[in-house]
Amino acid sequence: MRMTGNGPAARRTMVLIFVVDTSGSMEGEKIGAVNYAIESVLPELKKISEGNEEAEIKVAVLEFSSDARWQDSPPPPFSVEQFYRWTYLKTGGVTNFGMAYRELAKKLSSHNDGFMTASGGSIAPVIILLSDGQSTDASSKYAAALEELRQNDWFKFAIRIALAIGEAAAKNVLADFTGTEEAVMSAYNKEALIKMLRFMSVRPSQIRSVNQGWDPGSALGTAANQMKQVIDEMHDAQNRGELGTDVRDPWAIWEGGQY
Amino acid sequence: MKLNVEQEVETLAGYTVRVLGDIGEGGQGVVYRAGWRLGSATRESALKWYPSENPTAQNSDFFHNLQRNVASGPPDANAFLWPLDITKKMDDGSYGYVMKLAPANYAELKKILRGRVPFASLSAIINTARNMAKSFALLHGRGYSYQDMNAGNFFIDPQSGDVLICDNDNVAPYGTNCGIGGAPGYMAPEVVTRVKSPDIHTDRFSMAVVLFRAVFIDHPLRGRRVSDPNLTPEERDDSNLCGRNPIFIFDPADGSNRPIPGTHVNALKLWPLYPKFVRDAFLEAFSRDVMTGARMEHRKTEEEWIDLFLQLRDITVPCEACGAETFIDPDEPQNRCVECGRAISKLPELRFRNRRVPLCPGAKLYKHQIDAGSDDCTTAVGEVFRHKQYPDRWAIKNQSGFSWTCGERTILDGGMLPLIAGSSVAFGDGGKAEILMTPGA
Repeated sequence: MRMTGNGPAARRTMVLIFVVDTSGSMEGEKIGAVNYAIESVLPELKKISEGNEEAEIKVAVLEFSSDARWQDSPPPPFSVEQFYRWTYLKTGGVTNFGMAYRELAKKLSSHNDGFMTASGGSIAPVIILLSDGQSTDASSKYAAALEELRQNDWFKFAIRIALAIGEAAAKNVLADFTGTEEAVMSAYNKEALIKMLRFMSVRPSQIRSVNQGWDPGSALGTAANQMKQVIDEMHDAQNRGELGTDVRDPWAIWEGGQY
Repeated sequence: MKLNVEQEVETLAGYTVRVLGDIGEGGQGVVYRAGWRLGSATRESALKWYPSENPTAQNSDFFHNLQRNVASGPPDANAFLWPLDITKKMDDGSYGYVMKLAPANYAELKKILRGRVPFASLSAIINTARNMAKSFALLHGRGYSYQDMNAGNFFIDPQSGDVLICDNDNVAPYGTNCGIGGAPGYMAPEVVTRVKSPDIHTDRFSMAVVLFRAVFIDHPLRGRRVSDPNLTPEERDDSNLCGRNPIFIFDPADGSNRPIPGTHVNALKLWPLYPKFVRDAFLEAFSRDVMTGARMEHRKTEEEWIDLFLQLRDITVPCEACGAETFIDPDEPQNRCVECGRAISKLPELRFRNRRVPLCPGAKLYKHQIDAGSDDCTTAVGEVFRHKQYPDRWAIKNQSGFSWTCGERTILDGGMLPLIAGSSVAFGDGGKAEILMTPGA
């Protein structure tokens, strides 16, 4: 029936971007836990997206080591409603943050093959950066790439959070990315890593896609409010013990990232 | 803190509420299915719970306003899921309130907008819109405003179009705002730009958005501009599209925000199918003048919308060919069925001072049609008959309980009023109509 048999309302798209360090030091339990966490969170995101009349959640994964590549099967960003068979990420190489930032900035665009091109409109993304190590790219190149990314409006308006895996992770580098140290969480064991990554995937996506903490004044105000809400909730959950313990797994005290 | 299943909380009225399960999570808190124990009886209810992190709910004005709403009761218990009792605060400050559960046959407007639950008929859509406006008329008539209208506040019976309004925690008297701004896409532009706090006038903007979405599904202000690559992310943000510079997707003077084919499919499909007077009403509601200009405090009232949807109901008739409901717009030279596209033959018409009612065989005449002072559109006062052997003979059976007069003739309750072109009927209870027998009928 034309009058009553309506399809769903047009929605905007919110892309959840995982930027994952897949350098050699991530090998083994760490990348295993990351893969497991992302795989298990996709069905949950699917449920949130399907119930939301305002926005659909899509996911894109950027893995970086000596270079940076988008997971391309299926092509990013993919809808969590259509797809949730997760292709496990593999490791190898060094930790070139600059490459990742340049690649990310390229896709945070409304033009050509950028991710912000959904015809129903794009909501600024949630970006989660995960790493266990130090940056191995030349500091000038790293600084230039970071600066370029920071000039990107979609990045400015994004919810940016990071997960430092193990003690050797460069929390200051991750804080450069998020804009504040408070948005960087640390995982020292697999259980905590999985719990944190799940939390960091679900709550920010929910807050962003259903517009909680929305600031009527501006996109930047919204980003600031929602970042604050995410940070507060992450720390509250951690204080309540919901994000695991800080007991060190053996891998957490290894030197990371210097391959 | 959140509550666990089986947990019991005491209420301010001296009762207890027991958590039975989760219903959902909204912008402001969690909703549980709960048993509200009133002495020996337990009523299955909903418990909306504000965790201590919610700054609005922690505001003491908000709490007192909620208490006032419990004390004053709903404007209409059949139309609102009103706060009935408030729990005592927990140590960390979290608390909640008890309300009725929506019956299982009701679906959230959100679900309808997701395309999960279809309306059963065109009448159900029209009734939904009218009931929404009617409920807000009751609320506003009490001197209240709702302040946070959005697609999450409505439970709808998709068969009948009956509506229940939930989340009445922000409802407050004129001039009072307890901190809520509203939801993006539904807030009035002047609330978005922080020129003022929500009140009845901003409610009326939100109501126009909700009505538009109930009927046309897509959003009235999110068209091409929402994804225009020539606009900056800031310009594509709701703070601009629904705040600083809103443009209706069907604005006749500015085509820069038209729906995109293949994306805003519902709006493009449904807009031309509704009669002109319906489109005109939305064009007015989303005109620049009414949205952000001189008429911001003279937006379309609830009564105007109620009357509009009553008129729309009056002209909704079954198509002779396909049986589906369609419109007979008296202003159109030739009506076509909105479903099958076939031409609809002209029908006789009762022409009242401010409404025109097409008459088709088997149709009922309702109280609001013959009585200008009534908006009762469910009480049938007559039924239309067409002669089987002589199809150009029509009559209305009087079921009103009053006598009608037509010229010299008096039609007692239960009698038949033959329709004679050009004659005038007085319906006893105030209404007066000309009978128009259109050629071909």
